Amino acid sequence: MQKAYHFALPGQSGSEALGTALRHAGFAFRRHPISLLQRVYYDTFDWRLYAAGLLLLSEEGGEGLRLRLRERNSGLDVVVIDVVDVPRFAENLPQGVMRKRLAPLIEERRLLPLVSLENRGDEFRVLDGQSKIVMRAAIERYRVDGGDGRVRLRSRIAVVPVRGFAEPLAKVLPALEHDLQLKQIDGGVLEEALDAIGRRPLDYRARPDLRLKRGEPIGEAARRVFVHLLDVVEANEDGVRQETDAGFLHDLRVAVRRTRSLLSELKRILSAPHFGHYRAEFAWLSRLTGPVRDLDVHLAAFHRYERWLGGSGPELESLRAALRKRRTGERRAMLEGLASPQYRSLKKGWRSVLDEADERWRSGDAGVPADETVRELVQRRHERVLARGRKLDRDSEDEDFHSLRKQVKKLRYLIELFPGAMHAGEARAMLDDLKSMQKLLGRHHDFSVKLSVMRELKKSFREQGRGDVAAAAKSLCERLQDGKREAEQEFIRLFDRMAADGVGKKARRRAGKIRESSQ
Amino acid sequence: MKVLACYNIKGGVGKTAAAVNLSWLSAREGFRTLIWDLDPQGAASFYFRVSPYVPAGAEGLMRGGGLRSVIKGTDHENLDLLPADFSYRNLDLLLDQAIKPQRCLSALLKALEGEYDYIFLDCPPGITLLSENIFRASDVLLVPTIPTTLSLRALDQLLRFCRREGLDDFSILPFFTMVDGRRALHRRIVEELPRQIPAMLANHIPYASDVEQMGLRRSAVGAYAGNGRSARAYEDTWWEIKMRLEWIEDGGLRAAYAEGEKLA
Repeated sequence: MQKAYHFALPGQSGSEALGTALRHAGFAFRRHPISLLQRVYYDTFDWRLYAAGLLLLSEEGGEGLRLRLRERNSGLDVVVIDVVDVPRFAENLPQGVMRKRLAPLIEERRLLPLVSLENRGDEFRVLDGQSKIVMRAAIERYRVDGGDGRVRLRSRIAVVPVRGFAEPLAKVLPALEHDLQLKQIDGGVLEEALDAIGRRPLDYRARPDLRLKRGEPIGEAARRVFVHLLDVVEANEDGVRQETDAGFLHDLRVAVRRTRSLLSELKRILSAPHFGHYRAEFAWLSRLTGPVRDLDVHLAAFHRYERWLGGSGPELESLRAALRKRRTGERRAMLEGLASPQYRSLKKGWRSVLDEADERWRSGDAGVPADETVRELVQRRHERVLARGRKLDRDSEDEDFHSLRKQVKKLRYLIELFPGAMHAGEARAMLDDLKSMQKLLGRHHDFSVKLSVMRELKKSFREQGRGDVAAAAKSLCERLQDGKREAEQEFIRLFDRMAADGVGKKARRRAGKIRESSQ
Repeated sequence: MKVLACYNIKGGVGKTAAAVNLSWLSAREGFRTLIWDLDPQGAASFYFRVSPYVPAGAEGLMRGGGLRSVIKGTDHENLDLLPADFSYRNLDLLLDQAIKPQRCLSALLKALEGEYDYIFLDCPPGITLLSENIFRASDVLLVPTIPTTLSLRALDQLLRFCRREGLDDFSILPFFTMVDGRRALHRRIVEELPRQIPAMLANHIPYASDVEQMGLRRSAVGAYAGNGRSARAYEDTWWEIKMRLEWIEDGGLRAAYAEGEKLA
């Protein structure tokens, strides 16, 4: 596989030496000075591009503003586009390979600048006998915009092959290594630039990736998870306040839900009296942030409503406006809540509880090895999920489905938050089942929430004498009701299938395994 | 991924110039683009300064050697070239020996799905087994046509052939090239023919010296004479092709085309 090569360049010069090395290797070249190239790296807040092995960077210089999508491992560009501005969201990207690659990755998240650099140097376009460019080699001298001024990175020579031309690379690389005595470097420019501003790649993860230590008490393990989740809440606050993208509120809410779920699962184990207080406080935070998220999800469904109603008419626009107005009010309340002493006190108090690494995290039941406790909890919760699932039928209430959904989430969090407590294959199989269930239960819940909001709107518009809008809401209610019913039936079918052909057996076998391994 | 073939039964109508300039424009707009020089003469490869040579030749490609390994990067961002090879003159014989002789090209191109937005085929003239492969592999057949009697005859032959062979799963977009506004015949044909063939593109490429200079400059017109009449004509043509592609996806072109054929 072709890739770009980087060599550390001692000192600030190197252009003459590189030119000489290329000439000795038998190549003609054209030299192009890079007077000033402003490069900015972009990613989503949660590093979706980096995690997928991609880099997105803009370069602004003599040729305008260019956006490069680059493979991280090879250092080669996948596609380059000229833009007027750097797109903020995937939907702002022009059609083409870049959008096709990025849209499924970044979804609703916004592209944010990670680090900004200046590059001055020289590009050497290496030519063959037909004056065709067969390789590019560049002297790159970077300076990073840090908070306290500019930081100079080590200078480097970047050698970038052209697809289908292997020979120049084979001749030039040894010349650089042996004739110029240069050392190849692995780290990319981004990693060095991040280091210069005190960051590192993947320094934010919504889900904790905390491996259990051998024999680690459940209390200690839980404390580490809680610390991570509180960090996530705090990391997302600014994005929620500034409404950078909808992912910030989502991540904040998930961290809160995971905290509540774990507090609830471990309430008999972590028995300190004030834990009950924090359970209640996090429940408050969940209620505070819930309506805005629900309304965001609802507003995102309007493109489907357009299809259902055969286009966007004034009635649908009235419904959308009503929801937007409601969202504005809910958002104001949420922001007030997030600025309140109650919220500050929740964070401060919870942080101080977590910072006290004292006996309460290690003594009594909290001192039992985490893997043992988690396996036991998983077994118990799994049996409860199966029992509740079996009870569901066509006559079940929305609340029954919602309650099972919560159970499934709790079980999923237990498995995900303590990776290593269970056998990896077993955990994966169980998570697959839970995800299938959660997908349908989530769809059911979405329909149910939207239906209830739409019924309120129908009533309200009817009272205002807006029969046309109320009729549109009624027709949407019918479609939502159908959707909810379909999700119910699909879930029941899925659960029956799971119980009939294997998953029930698999689940029992799993339960057996869990029992064995916990004995 | 859309496959656009620059094709005409007749030679010397500006197929290569169209393939080179349109692929260059596509790449410049940020679409990942490949141009496959299928003509053993290797003119497109020459324009991009790449030797018309494929190590294992046409036979190697047909044996499943894979297209990826022979693709060359051009001097332009987003634009790759699959070079010509003199052995392509034997492509018909090789295709004839294949299990599905008319679908080999489709199968080969399938391997590039997802890697490119547009693939341009610069096709040799003639109507052979390779042409049938091209018809079946392409979403759109771009047919550069000089507004002369013989060129129109070649276009008519192509339309009849496709109709007879039931090749209706792609769209034919003819457009005029080398239009000399000083000639009355050119002017008349350019004005009248689109009424009979609604699929005909409204834009045309003028007869101009800057296109001829492609051989000296060894590059697309837009790279050295971006503000010239020819470069702008290719830009307009490319824009129209993209519009037509959208229309084709909506099913509009086929309906209009069928209607036009009835009129003709």
